[in-house]
Amino acid sequence: MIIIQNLTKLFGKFKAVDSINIEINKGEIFGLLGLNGAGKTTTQRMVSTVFLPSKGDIIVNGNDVRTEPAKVRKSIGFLPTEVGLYDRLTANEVVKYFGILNDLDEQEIDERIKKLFEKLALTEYANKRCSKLSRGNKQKVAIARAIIHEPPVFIFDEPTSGLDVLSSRAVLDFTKQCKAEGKTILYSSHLMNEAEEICDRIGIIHNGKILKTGNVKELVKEYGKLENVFISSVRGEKS
Amino acid sequence: MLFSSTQERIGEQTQYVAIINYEVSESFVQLIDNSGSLKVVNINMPPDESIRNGTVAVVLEIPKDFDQRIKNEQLVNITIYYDASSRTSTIAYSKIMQVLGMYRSDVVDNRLESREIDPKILQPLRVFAENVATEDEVSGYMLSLILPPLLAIIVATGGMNAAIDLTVGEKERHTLEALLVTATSRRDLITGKFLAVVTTTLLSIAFIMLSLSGSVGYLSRLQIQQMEIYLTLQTSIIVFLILTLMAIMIAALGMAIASFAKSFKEANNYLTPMLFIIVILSFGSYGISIDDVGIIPFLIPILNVTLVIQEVLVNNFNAIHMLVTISSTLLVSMIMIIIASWIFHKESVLFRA
Repeated sequence: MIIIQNLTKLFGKFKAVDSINIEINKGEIFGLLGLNGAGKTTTQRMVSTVFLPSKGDIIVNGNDVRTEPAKVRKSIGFLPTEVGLYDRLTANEVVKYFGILNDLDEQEIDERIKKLFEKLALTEYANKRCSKLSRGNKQKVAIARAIIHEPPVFIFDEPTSGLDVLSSRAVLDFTKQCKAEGKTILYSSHLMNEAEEICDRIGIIHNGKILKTGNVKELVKEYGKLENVFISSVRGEKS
Repeated sequence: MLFSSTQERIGEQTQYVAIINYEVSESFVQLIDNSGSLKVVNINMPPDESIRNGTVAVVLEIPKDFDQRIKNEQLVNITIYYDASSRTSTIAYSKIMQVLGMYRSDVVDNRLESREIDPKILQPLRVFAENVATEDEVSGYMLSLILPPLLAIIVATGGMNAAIDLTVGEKERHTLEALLVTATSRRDLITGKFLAVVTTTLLSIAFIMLSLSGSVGYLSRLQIQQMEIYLTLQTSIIVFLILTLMAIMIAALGMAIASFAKSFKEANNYLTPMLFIIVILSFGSYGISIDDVGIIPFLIPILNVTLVIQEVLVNNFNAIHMLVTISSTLLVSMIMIIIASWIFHKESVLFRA
């Protein structure tokens, strides 16, 4: 579903992402794990067509990000790290606006909003201004906004960052539910326990390079827990 | 407008005047009383106190030998007490000065006639000024002095906040990334934002034009105005269309500049010098006479718009000037739109850390 080949991103002379290769299968949650500044967000931004790769290729749902960015955008739902909502609009209005930007007709938007808000337990907040929502509910609105066009691929950039335990749980459960519905998810995080819980496979990214990829269950079996995999990969030694 | 209206009302009202030593000259009291909107009353307080507490608007003090001095052709000193900070008092003061002026001239005429001298000897010249301009032209000239720079500045400031909010505002709210990954292309996004800025600017122009038409219409009905001024519908429409061109240019310019910024504050820092330049160019038309202006000023954005508006207002329409202004404004607008669009595709500018 997502093929990343030899992907490199340069900002001037700085190599933010250095020749990475990842393949993510349909219906899989792939965790991109790394410290802050490791290159997770830059990679996800390139997959989402926000950034153009300096070198290498990205194919999303059969579409090349360079030659068919519009088709790629229709195939993905991108949830950036920052929630970024319009404070003066209600939750309903924000999602509706993005539905329009994603070429959906009004009736379709209303039906999807109803369904999504029920799923995300947002119905009672639908007509509240975003400025009045809790951080957790804002994140749920951001998720609804990202996937209103029902894309097959989700790209979630640290979706539980800054959320309380209950809100994090809701986001994680929702992500699992999406996987169960056959969605392909590229999920970035620096929280190992979270990745261990929801990801099928992971890739550890550090200084723009993928240090290790593998099946979560197999890695946990080998290293005891995902945190050990991460630490040993980053330190360059096996624990 | 409010000031003129108040002045008009006060002018029509009767003001009370006190005369110290009024008993010495019944004719002088009658002169003031019969002047129309002044009425002589008695006071039992000092002049300044009577004026301050509003008992009278003005107090006159005439000498005890007033009639005698007039009769003997001696100098008569009259003191007028008034309050320069009170509109009622200053209006009464003006009325008194008018009455005294007429009285002075009557006294002089009488004295000359008693010597068998024609009073006309004091008027060696009579000047007749014939204004060849029509009322429309006169009011157009008055408006041409005030309106163009004012409108240019309103256009410049009208859409500026929208330009900032729709560009750097998206960065600051972290909504930009979400917008960029929607099915809507970046070209369409920037076009939508551009049209929103232009619409905001046009709305502010429309409101200011409406309010000006109303104000000008109202002012022209006030008798206190020395000259009638009009803003015809046709003129308003032409001015609005010219300003639309300028709005397009300013919107593109504002968006191009604001897109470079990382925050609202930074955008304001970038746009403030631009506003200064716009103000300078707008008022540049004050130094140029549209009667003998060359083509060069019409190549300079903003200045050309203010000059063309001036020409329209004084009914001195010049098709070449208009064409050059439209062309140069559209050219600059296109360049700015291309720059704004380029910035919107430039990730190093959009996601500048």
